[in-house]
Amino acid sequence: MRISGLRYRHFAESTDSNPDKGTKGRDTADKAHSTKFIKYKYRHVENAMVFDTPFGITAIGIVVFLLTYWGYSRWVDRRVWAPDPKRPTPAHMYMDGVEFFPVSRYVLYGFQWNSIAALGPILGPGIALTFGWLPAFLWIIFAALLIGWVQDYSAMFLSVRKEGRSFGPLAYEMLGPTPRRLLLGFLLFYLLLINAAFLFVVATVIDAFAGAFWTLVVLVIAALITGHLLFRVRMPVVQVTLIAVVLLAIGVAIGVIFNWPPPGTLGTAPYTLWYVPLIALLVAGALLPMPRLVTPMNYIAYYTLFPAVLMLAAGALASIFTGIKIQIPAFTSFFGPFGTGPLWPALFVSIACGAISGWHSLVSTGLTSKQIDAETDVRPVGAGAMLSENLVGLTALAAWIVLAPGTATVPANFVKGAVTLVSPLFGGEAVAPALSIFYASYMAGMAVTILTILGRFWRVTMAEVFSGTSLSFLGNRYVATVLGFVLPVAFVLTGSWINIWLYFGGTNQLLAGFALLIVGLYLFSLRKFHWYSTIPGIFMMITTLAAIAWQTIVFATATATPVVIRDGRTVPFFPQQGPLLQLGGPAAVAGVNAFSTVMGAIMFVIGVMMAIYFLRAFARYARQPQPSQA
Amino acid sequence: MVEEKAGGLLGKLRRAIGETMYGAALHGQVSAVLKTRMYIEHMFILMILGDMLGFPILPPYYSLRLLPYAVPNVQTWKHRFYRERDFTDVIYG
Repeated sequence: MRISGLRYRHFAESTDSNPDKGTKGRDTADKAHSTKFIKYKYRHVENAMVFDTPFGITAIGIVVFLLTYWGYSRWVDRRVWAPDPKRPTPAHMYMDGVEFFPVSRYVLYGFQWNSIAALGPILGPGIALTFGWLPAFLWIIFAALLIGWVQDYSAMFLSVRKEGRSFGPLAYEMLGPTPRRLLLGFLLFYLLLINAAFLFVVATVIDAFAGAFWTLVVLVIAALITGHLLFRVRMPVVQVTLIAVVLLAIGVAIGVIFNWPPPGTLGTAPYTLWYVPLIALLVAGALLPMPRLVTPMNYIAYYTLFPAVLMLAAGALASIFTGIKIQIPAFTSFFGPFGTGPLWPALFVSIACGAISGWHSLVSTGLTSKQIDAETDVRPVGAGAMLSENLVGLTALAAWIVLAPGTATVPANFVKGAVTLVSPLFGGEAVAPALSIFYASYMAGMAVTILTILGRFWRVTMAEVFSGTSLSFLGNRYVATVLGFVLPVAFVLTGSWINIWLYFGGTNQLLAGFALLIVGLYLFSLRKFHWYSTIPGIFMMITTLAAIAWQTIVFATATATPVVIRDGRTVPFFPQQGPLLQLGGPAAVAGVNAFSTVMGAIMFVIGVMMAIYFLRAFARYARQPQPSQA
Repeated sequence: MVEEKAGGLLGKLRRAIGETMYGAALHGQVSAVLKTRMYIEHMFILMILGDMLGFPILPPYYSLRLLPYAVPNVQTWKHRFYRERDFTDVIYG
């Protein structure tokens, strides 16, 4: 569809084309147009097709998100959950000023959005581009309209109606003790995969943009300083924020100046020694009390997240004027490479948080639901934050699609796409080095903040599980923390971030399916309209189980044939495993792939068992008499 | 209810943006500090009520001297302490 996309350019024009002409005889209009005066005119320069640039998809996406919020989500809110502003929420019922206390909807919206924003929406679209940009865009739109906000909002509302209970207790109540144990076991693998996927990405990004590591170091120092200033010195928060932003800017500047060592110096990514300082940093973050490092780091990292997304959105919308065009084809093929799989199910698990994510149900039922002031706040907080996250995914897609085809398979190339999209807004090539370090440290910051939280989680969980047993050394806080980061490295050694990412996406979306079905089960038990949650839940379960099964088959094939003959040479099944093959031979390659195969098989089996438990639960509630009151 | 402050549209917009920025940047930190205080408070009340619960920690003289400080918080402590938790609370609870 050709729409006249006008491109304007200022130019100075003198209407006096004949300098020898005297002033006599000129008409009134010409007198005003003397060469002394420069008149700027707007002129239609050329037509630009809206869908040649990321402008089109971004504009359409924003419209869909707004319509979803003010249309479908409002309908579900009123018809299904019927929020009562006068009904006391857990924040009022159990107010203790510590966990349960009412908080403004705007504060919770900001908190929810910052908590759910991570690497997921940034990197997922890159893999989805295997099939072209159009399927990726349509999935983001489809998920934003029908699935993503449904999960966040509904899980939050369910928790609010159930005394602020977290995900585990809700699963226990709706499904029973065994499914809850299965779910908790599933969560352990899921968190291991998040660690692996994020570690992989951060290490490769830092290898490509070493300056981002030094920015990260400054970020850590800044976090320690701001934490101390806020809670020991009791400095006002505005001043601390200014100091934090200045320190962040210094960190980016140091990263630009000291962009060393060059890529590949510490090993070929992903087999790089960058893991060593990275894991050391993460272990320190996991061991220190949260207010000392992790939460101040999250606080400072927000000041990269917000401008990064804003600039990407501005760059995407301005692309119709800056002329940055889409390079990726709209559609390539339904069938991707064997390692990725066909469009269904791979597309639906590659774009994780930007479309839908099980992680969000943990956040929604974790802290937010305990601080909701009134039931009418659930929609702006839950649905609003998720639709904002969809925007993050959409702008990330815009950054990926301006890259040359074939380059979206490297995580670090997101930085190049972002710089391509954003730099025309700030003067072009001159700002590219600073923007590169900024976006690289943005990616690293998004990953590191989640990784430190997960490291702490591993420490606490392993201490609970193993202390007092014969393996109590595994419960030691130092051992547990290190293991929590070293074990994911086994996944990283598979070498292929696409396959790790698809594993992570599969488990992440499967958790989302669980959350949707738990909500559907609850509404079904009350004989309310549950299909708006149940149908997406069934779709996610089937799709993600298929994706996990496919990736398990891929890793099983790689285990059975760790090396193959290509172009007359013996190479590993996953080409990126070349360094591992040299280091440990085919046995090492097969061992690593076997580990991934077993993990995938376990997750698939847990997923199928949970599906059976859900079916049984629905059947059980169908046999029960209709309840009298919600 | 959280008090709604008066103000025109611009004032409301400024408040909304300010609160959103606070929520995104600082609310997590504040919650983490409150939770840290919560755990310390749990320890404090356990120390005081310990001998009534079967594990004497402090000599009764001291626990009785400290009891008036703990009593206002016992009800909320009970709800928090006995609230059903699993490790989904550890992640983001």
